[in-house]
Amino acid sequence: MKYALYLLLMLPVPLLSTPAIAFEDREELYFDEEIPVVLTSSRLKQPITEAPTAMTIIDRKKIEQLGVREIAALFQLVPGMIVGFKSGNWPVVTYHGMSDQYSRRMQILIDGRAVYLPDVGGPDWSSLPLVIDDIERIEITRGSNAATYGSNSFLGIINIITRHSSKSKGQFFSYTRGENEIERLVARHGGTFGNLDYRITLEDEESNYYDAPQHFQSSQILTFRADYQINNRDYLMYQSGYTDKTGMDRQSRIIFPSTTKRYFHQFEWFQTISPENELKLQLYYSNLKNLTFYKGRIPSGIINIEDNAYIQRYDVEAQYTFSPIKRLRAVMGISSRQDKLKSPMGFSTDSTIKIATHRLFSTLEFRASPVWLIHFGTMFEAHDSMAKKLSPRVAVNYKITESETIRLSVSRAYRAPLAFEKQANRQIVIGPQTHTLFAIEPGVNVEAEEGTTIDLGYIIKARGTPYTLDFRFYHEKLRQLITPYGWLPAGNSTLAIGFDNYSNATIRGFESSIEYTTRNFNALLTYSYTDINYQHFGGTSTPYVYADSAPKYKTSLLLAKQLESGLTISGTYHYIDEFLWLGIGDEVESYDRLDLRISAKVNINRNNASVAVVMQNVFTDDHYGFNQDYRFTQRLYMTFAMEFH
Amino acid sequence: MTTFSQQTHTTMMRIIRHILVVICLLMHHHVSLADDTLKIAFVGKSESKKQQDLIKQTQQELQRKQLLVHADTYASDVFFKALKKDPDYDLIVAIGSKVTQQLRRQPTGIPTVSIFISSIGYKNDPLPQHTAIFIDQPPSRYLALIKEILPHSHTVSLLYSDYSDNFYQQLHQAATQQQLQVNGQKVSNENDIYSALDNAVQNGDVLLAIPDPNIYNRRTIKTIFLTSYQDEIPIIGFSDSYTTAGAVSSLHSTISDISKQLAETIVYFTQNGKTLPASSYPRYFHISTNSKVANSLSITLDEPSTLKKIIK
Repeated sequence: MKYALYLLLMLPVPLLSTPAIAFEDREELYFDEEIPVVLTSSRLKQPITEAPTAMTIIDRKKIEQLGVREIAALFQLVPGMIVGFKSGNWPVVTYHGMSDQYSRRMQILIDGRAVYLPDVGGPDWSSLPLVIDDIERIEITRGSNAATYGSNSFLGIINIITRHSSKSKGQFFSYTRGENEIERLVARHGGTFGNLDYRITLEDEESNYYDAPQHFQSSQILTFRADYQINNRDYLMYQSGYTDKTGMDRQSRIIFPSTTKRYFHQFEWFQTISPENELKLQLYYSNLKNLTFYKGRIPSGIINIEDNAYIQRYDVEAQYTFSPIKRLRAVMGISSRQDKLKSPMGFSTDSTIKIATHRLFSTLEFRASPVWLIHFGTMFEAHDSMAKKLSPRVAVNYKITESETIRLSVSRAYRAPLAFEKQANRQIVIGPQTHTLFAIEPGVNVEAEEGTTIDLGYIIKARGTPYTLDFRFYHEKLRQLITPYGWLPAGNSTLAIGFDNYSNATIRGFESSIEYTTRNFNALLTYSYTDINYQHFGGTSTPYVYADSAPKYKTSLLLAKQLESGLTISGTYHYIDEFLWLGIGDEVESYDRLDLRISAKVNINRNNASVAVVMQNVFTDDHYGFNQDYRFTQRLYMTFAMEFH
Repeated sequence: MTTFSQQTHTTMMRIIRHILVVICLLMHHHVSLADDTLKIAFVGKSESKKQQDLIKQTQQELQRKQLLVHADTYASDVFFKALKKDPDYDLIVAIGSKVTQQLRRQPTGIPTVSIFISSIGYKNDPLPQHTAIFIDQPPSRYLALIKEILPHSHTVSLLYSDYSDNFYQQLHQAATQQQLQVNGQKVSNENDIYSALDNAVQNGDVLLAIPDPNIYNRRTIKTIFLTSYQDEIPIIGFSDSYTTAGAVSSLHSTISDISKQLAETIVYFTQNGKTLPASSYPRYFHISTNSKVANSLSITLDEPSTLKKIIK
């Protein structure tokens, strides 16, 4: 907790004084036109009954009820989604399985900023410059949506939306302590200067899992966000974040301590021309430096390797939302991205690999009648790692009754090969010998994966009733999946791992979520059935048994009850059928997991203080987090929080 | 079949109307008129466009009602000097609360109608011969709108301060009659707003925004809209701008609505021995709706014109 002292510096910051209000012009309020459009088109969320894809929303309230410390753990509740922990600091989140330690088939966005890494994929959850307490809500698209988000939005999309800084005014402080040396400190200050709202958040976290030796992590995160309403038309948002993470993992007899430093800057400018017309310009830059040491003894000698990776991303996007005719809403956009990566050990070169992506996209939403809503979306992409692609989507939502909607959608998506899948060349030197671990077999040109999804949804939701029922049937046809396989490089005594478009798969299934919400009670039951069929071409050996990579059945239940006394009791139960994590993962036997959280909150003079106790894995049904090197055991921790204005 | 006498009558009426229009135009140029013409002083904070529109539209209404008046307009700072020279006004129209307060401090003894004045925070005036046409809508009208567009609502949340305490009491009374609950959250300073707002959205089905500048001002409005939207609590507002900003619907009276009622008040004044009617909420109003926000919150909205037929 080396940064804990800094937190104290933040707390005494006084709130800016509140100017006295001039009463003279109070009638002016009635005619006052000087109000910005707050709920602009881009801020409005689409109700799940009108979305072209299946959606799951995790809002602030649910985040609190789940009581988890890791962002990745929030997704356990989502139908079809599974969360694993390769180690205490390496979460893996995937939708419909198909994943090894790097989940490569989902797009992850934070406030529209892609955090999916271009070298090996996945977002590296534990080093995200994001504090869970700053999340406003998470929109999860179940199914591909490349038409909106581009390639890599292949099986699903996680879109994390952080709080507008005007919503975090005052001081917030929380301290968590628990088993496994869990210690976490969060401090936040939010304030206002005229039309500018800002917040600054600091998190200092540490954990050390004795039950999984040498799984340790410590991270410090600092984030800043400012929202500036320039005038009634123009709005500017700036965000930045910085993470400094140290971790230690173990795999068999090799330990690998690592450090990751990651930061970003993001600007967004919105111009509301009219409530229907809005222009958005977004710019961001992100930077990640990772240094991993591999140390250990293996039969053929001692490994002591330094592995560096350096990733930069520049991204610019312009988007225009308008309504050319009544009942038609259109979004058009253009974007350009440059990824630069350097990993001397991963690619056996000191030069920087550059990957450019240019995109042109548009979505149309046509309200043909009060009951018919038709969506068209398409994305044209020129990506350095694949041939030029067009990803279309058509969806129709039909309102059967005031509360029932049926949705049918067909979409096509591509996944561009990652740098590592396209040009891996990873060698290590042990004693006098050089071993090739990963390399692309000569003559192989890895191409994009292709997916076609047919989705049928049935939703029951009516305002004023506490129920929401959401059912989804889907058929996903995936072609040219990039699958690792073993081959023998010339002059090498051991097999190397290569990648090629070696497999096809079909995923069929059913997902449901039934929610009952009243003011002080919430119940959410989710269920998913996933059936994967696959075939590999060419008969080459690979341990990627896709059929086993997702649990056939998965059920989750969240119950939360808020009592008059300020006490909230919530419980989350999961049943996960047996499945296999691919790559270096192991088979995870079916397990039941129950997490309980009890919290008490007191309001003192509009300020509040709360204490919460969380017990995870109450049944002590220990299971592999990802493989045998890390077991998810019971853990208990307690959080004390204060918020004052 | 049109008879000759009917045609003559219509022609005559047209001529009279033309003469009246000419007279009204002349009035505007301070030409002295017959003694029995009603003399009105419109007093505003300044001679704004809004004030000119109001006067023009009131005169048009009076023309339609065939009432002859002489009208002068003043900015409040010059009015009292002018009054010393020419004290025989029959009626003062005080525009806005600032002018009303000035007149209260310096009584003129002349019957006064205050307009563009909020009932919120309005204390019953002790002066005789003083009435007001409020700019804001009666609580019962808001509740009727809520019942119509949000039929599942049980609890109406209201953020209020000392200034709007009066409105809270009235809303409470009206809600009891309509079998609705009011979740009133009192705010004593601006820093209180955010926790009060959390209580308002967590324990209510709809948030009623009122023109209380202690609560709804440029610094706070964004947070209020975003917070209530996040919890899917619709806002009912009090102006067109509120609807554009993100309120699902608003009730408001326009300048022409107020002018119409002011003209009726002036007619009442002339026909009832120069006595004034009791203070009242606006009789005429508009409903605006934001279908995009409503749609996003799964609220089914009727057209404003349909709503207008239901809500009185």
